[in-house]
Amino acid sequence: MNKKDYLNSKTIDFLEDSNFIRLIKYQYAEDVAFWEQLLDEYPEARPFFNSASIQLKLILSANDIIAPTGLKDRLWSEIKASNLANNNATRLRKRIYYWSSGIAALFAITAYISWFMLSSITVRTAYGESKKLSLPDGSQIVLNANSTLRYPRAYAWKKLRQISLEGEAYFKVVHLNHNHDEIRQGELFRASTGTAQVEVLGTEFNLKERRGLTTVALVKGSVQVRSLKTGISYLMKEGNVVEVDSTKGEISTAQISASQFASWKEGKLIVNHTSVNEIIQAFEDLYGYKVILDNPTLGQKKIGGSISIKSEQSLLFTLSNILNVNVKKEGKTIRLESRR
Amino acid sequence: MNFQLSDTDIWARMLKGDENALDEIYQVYFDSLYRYGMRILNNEDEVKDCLHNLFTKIWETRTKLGPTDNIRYYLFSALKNVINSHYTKEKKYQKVEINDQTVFDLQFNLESAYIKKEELTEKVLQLSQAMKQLTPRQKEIIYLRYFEEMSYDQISEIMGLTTKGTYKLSARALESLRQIMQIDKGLLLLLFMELKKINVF
Repeated sequence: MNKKDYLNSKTIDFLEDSNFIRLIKYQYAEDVAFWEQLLDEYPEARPFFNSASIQLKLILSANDIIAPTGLKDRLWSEIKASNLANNNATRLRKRIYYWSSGIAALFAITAYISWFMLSSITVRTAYGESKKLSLPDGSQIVLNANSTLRYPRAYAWKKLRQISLEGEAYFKVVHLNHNHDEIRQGELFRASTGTAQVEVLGTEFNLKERRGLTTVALVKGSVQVRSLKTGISYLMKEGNVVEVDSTKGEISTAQISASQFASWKEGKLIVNHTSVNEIIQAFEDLYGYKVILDNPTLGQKKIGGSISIKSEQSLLFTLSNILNVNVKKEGKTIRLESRR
Repeated sequence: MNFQLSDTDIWARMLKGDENALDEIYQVYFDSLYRYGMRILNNEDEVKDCLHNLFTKIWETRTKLGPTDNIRYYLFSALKNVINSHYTKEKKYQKVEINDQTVFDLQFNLESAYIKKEELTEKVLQLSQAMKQLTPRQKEIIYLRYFEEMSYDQISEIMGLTTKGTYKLSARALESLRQIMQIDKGLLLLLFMELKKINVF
């Protein structure tokens, strides 16, 4: 505190000064002495000091408000009780939160597992396209054009290695069984079409399902073919080709060699005494065209040899030469017209 | 300085969940807060509710609160907020503006002002009359300034005003009083009208 600071103080300056406020409010002895001395030295400040002093005294004269006795303690115990209840509620909320998040996680896991176990993976090929894929157990599959293969997402976790097929595919199934007398879970492989089931332990075979006719061509090992309609099974031997028709469910052996049947993988069709109609059907299935022969008797013609099916052009070129026809393409329809 | 340090410290202890710290804070500030609340609400039950809300809310939200080195100011601000939301709730169905505070119970009393008889001039009597004409908000500012010794910054925060506005307001209120002290009766009426204009903010 410096006395000189108050030399030019007016009423409002005193009222804004914290030292002055302290003096009037509390009247501490050392403050009183200081201010008495100051006013003696600077009598010209006295009128303003007096005016400010009266104003502040008037302000401080305001009514006091005192809480009723006991209120302070009463209110505190109420606050403490509320806080305690709140602590417990928070703890309970936390517990509920943990439990509910645990349950939610459990639900999520269950949902994921059921999705994983129940859903399947689908592989499709378009017309003229083929795909190679391998299953989780290492089995290899070549999917021919215009075909659909389905297998469980949890393929490796299932008792039975199971796939279903529409169209045509070549299978190279990994042999998991070591003891022939005891076939364990997961060792059996089953491929099914709409009409037949093929059960194997580990072999190479071609499975084809077109126009209601399922054809199984066994290249290596042994498989069991079951007609879904009649339930009758047939144990195939290496090199066998078996057909199952959808109307009667009959199983019959075909007079073609199995390796010949699987030749599409190499991009060729090996035919032996095969009718032109059959070749045209295969073409339609693979490339998605409708083929019309203007001379239907041509369809009865049997041919033999190797036809390239790598592209529709090469196949059509071969056909046109063998049959001596002109090829006319109109959208998705192909017309084979006899040359005059 | 020591006081401020312990303010920071006790507040930090409370934030960490020390119930004794909350107790200490309550014991120290209960009277000030009760007085302030009563001057605004003028109803013991409502003030009790507000203080209850204030201290339970502080405890409930302690993990989210920041530090402070001035608990008095913090509590006054917080109490003012609680009272404002209390107002909103209470007056929901009545058409009363939230900020339209109608009362601030601060009654100046010439008899208890300890003013010496020789000082009781005409001017002092006029001043005493003039002070009764202060608006509730002006009274609140004067209360916070001279009774709670808060700075203009703190007052403006508590009352939701800009600092400049508060300072201007307080200075003008005081200026008015000062002028009343020195002017004659004739101009007094004009000044009262001036004081009423200040109430616009």
